[in-house]
Amino acid sequence: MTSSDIAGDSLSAVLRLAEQAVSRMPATPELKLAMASSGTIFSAFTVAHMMGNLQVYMGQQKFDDYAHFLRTVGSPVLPRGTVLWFFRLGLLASTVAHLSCAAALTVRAQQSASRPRAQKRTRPRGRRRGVWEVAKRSMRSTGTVLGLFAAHHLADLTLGIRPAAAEHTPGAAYQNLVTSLQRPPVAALYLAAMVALAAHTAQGITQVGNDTGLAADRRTRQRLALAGRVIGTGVALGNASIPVAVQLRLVR
Amino acid sequence: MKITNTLTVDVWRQSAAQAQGRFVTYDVTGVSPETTVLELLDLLNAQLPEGEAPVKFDDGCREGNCGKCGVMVDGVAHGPEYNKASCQQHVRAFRNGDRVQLEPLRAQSFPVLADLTVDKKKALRTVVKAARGPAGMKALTNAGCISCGACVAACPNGSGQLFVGSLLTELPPLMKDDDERRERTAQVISTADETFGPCSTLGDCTEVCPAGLPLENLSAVAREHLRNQGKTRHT
Repeated sequence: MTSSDIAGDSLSAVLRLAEQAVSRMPATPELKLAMASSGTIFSAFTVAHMMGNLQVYMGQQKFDDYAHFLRTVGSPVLPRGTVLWFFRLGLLASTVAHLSCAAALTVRAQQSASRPRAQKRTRPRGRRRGVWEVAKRSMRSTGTVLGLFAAHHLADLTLGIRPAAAEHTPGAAYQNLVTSLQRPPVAALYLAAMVALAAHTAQGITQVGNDTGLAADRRTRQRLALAGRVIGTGVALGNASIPVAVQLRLVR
Repeated sequence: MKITNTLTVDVWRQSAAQAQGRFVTYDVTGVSPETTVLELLDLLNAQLPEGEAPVKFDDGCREGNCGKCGVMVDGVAHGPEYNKASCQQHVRAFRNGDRVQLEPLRAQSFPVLADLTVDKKKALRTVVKAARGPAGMKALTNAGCISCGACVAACPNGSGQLFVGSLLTELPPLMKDDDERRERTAQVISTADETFGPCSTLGDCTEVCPAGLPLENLSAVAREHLRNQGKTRHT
């Protein structure tokens, strides 16, 4: 047996294991419900997070107070950080659910699809896709960008791990944010992630309507699609203004 | 004078279900703007070189009502025009000398039988059977679905949710009681899950559906599924 045979065998063994794992996952409608609920949690989180972020325009004191409030909310009734960790664990659980269901659904989709064998050609006239049409079939790529961005974002501004973070002082939220976003590559990454966020949220909310059965008539479906685009672009623009403002030295 | 064009057509040739398929290129002359996709194949078969077997393709009423026909034209199910069956698709979208690719409807659940013919009935029928035959057929008729399978082929996930959702939209009123509705919708949903891929609400299906079925129909799957989880019995 050659080494390429062994590599091929082990690859097919891994694929078989993955297929078995996917076939043991719950039925597709259940996975879709898990995707919809965790996605809704993320969408709500991005809106709340943006509203917190925008306080950067109210000055250093206000922003640092808000950061302090997030860490201490609930105390002294509850131990310090309880509420914060409640939300963190909720987001962590949503991440696990969203990623594992997305992986299983991707495998199922690829098992069922049989792409045309023809080499890629330009689509027929009148069938060219607009920006939103491209965005809605890019959930996996925009999701990957958002996942990697979230990892960088946590290492940068929550944990302060180099090289993701710049000069990091625990508790100095405003200063950490400004020094981090003053680096042009980080600001660019932030803007790219916001494009992905707008695209992912717009199609995500459309899909929530379908996967929960809410979008039962045309008006509801169209309203949800519009809500997705408005929330997605709104949150993305609100957040994107911050690296732009830091780069333009409006926030420093 | 009648305008006639020449199109270069890449056709999928496959001698049998198990055989290896490939594209074969032919020039088809005498194509007029009102020629349909199936008539283009008729022209091709009439002009085939000596000794070549005619291209097999699914053919039916040629009025867009029976749902038997269907090929992929340049990777789009049925053809370049929105919401028309292959027999009603005109090739006027193509200019003289254009190159066109014709393939069978592509989906794992639709095995290719020969050339452009596929076995789509088997997959679609298992879902209708899960609704126990006549009621399922009636529901599809009421929805307006002609069971052409283009939605499955158009979907990048191989999902049949426009077909299944349309069936489930119209099935409940045909059920005699709540128990029957629960049992049959649950059967349809689990059979569809085994036969087709998951739906990503992309809407490619609604662009090709000759019956023009709406995207809202997709949500009936989730609605009936959730309803079946509820404990409350409706009488």
